[in-house]
Amino acid sequence: MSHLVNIFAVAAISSTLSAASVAAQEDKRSFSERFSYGGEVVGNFSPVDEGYFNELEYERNLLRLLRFNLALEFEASDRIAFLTEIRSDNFDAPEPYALYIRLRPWLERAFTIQAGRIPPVFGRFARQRYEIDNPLIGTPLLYQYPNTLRPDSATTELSEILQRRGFGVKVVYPIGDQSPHAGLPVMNSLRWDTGVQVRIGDDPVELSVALTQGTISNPRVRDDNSGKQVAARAGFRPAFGWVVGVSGARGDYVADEVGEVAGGSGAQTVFGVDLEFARNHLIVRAESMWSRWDTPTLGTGALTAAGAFVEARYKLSPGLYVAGRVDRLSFEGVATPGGSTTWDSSIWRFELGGGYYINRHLLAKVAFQYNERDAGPLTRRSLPAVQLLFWF
Amino acid sequence: MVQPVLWASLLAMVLGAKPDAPQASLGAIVGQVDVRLETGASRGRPSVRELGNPAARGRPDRSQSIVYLETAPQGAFEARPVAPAVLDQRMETFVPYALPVTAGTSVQFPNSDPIFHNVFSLSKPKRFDLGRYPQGRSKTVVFDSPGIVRVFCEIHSHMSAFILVFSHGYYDSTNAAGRYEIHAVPPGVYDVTVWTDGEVRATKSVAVTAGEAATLDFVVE
Repeated sequence: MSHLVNIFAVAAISSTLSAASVAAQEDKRSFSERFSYGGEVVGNFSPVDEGYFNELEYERNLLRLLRFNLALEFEASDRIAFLTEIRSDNFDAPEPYALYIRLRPWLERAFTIQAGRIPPVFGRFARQRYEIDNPLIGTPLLYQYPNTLRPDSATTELSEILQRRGFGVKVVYPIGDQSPHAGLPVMNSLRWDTGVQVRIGDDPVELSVALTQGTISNPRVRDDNSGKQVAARAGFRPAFGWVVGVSGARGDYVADEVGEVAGGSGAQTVFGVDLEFARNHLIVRAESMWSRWDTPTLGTGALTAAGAFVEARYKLSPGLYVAGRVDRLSFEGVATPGGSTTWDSSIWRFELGGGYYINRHLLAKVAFQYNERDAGPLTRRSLPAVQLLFWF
Repeated sequence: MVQPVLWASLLAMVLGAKPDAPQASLGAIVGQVDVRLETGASRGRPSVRELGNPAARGRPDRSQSIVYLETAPQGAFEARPVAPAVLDQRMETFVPYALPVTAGTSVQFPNSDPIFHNVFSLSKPKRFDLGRYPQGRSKTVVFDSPGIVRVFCEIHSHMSAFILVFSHGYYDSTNAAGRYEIHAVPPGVYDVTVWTDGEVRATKSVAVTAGEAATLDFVVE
């Protein structure tokens, strides 16, 4: 199946490239009219997050971060474009977390192929155009909070997983990689996957399908198992101001080093719904996901998690807005000798804040975040945060 | 971008600078603005996070120029009715790119696109935010204070326009051929300025005589 999709993608890209080369010769636009750039410089400031509630997978805390983001697009012709987005956090080496080619074989049809390190088709939040589109400073739990499962490190004992409830920021198990590392968020919004995607349709209905190396919780450039992920999202605009999306994804997430011990791989299966309503000075967005991770080394079967958030932004006056988000991530209950408990510590997050545009390109945000869970290095933590954001 | 020369001229007009002209009969100033600047359309920010191509966009006419009197004739500031103006949102483009109006003018902002726009400005002469409204609807803003108002769309960063708010009515916008006409000008000697794509480009003097049209051409490069 995946070979067929790959063959189709290569054939489509080849035919489009040849058509694009002809079109490029006929395209009279200057270089500056084909080239665009944009970026952001973001500084987040907050007290130390001792509970690691806002920890990202690569040992950076989202509320204490300096981020540089540069996006580039070059339209070789009407049919072909090259796009990239390069990011550096806290002066780390810049990394292209988006790098792909966009093809439109038929200009008169709403049909697009993208290949390379591509934006995720699943859900909505990860494709927010830029940080400036996030009305608050924190990221929804579904897209940020690492649980205690790892693709490359596993255990045969459920009790070992339960011992680490709330410590997903740095976990290690006896099987596989022995270096401590963060667990899996339900969906990773910071790294993008590698593969091919197709979008059909536009308004009022669009369908996007992607075949990629990793999974939505563990996007990859290089495959670490023989499996691929298929992800899809159908978007529908029932009325002006409304957007409804339904997403699904399934792909092998267990790395070979664990799968070989377990005698087989394991898949992440996810379903999601996203909703947006906008009118006048109000925007309301909501998303919900249900995810199941097969755990081939455990005799207990798969582990599941579900979460949802609702956020709203309201503009009080030109350049000034208030925003809030209610956020929940809960984990499935499992039976233990001592009774039932969740396999990881379920968590609530409330975030209130606002933003003020000092000028069109400079936004200051303030936020107050409250986190609560029943296990982990800290079970409750309130965090004020400030963000200065310059975009160009 | 604020242009000191234009601001100075607007201030001078507010203070009531008087041209040395009798009010008996009127003349006109006509001419052509030949724009030789590179005025390609801004492509906006990259669409890296899109799953497909963004919608087709129009091209703002950034060569469109505004020609106006630096010093207005006496009586230019007397209250007079002003017609509403329109700044359309069409194919993700503001049309026109530059809109000259007299202080007190109501400007309508219809949305002609099948998508949301969110028109706003953070310029000091007029801060406003119209929020999001659908195709076929329009909202109105009254521009009371002279000055330059930069207008943007919050959703589409490539959309921008200028509204030049004058305290008098002696201005015109060039047409597609670059032609302009300023009518009902009392006889006298005037400084005439041309503004193109966000900047004052040139100022020239011209003598207006009663019953005649003085010709004044500009080259902007």
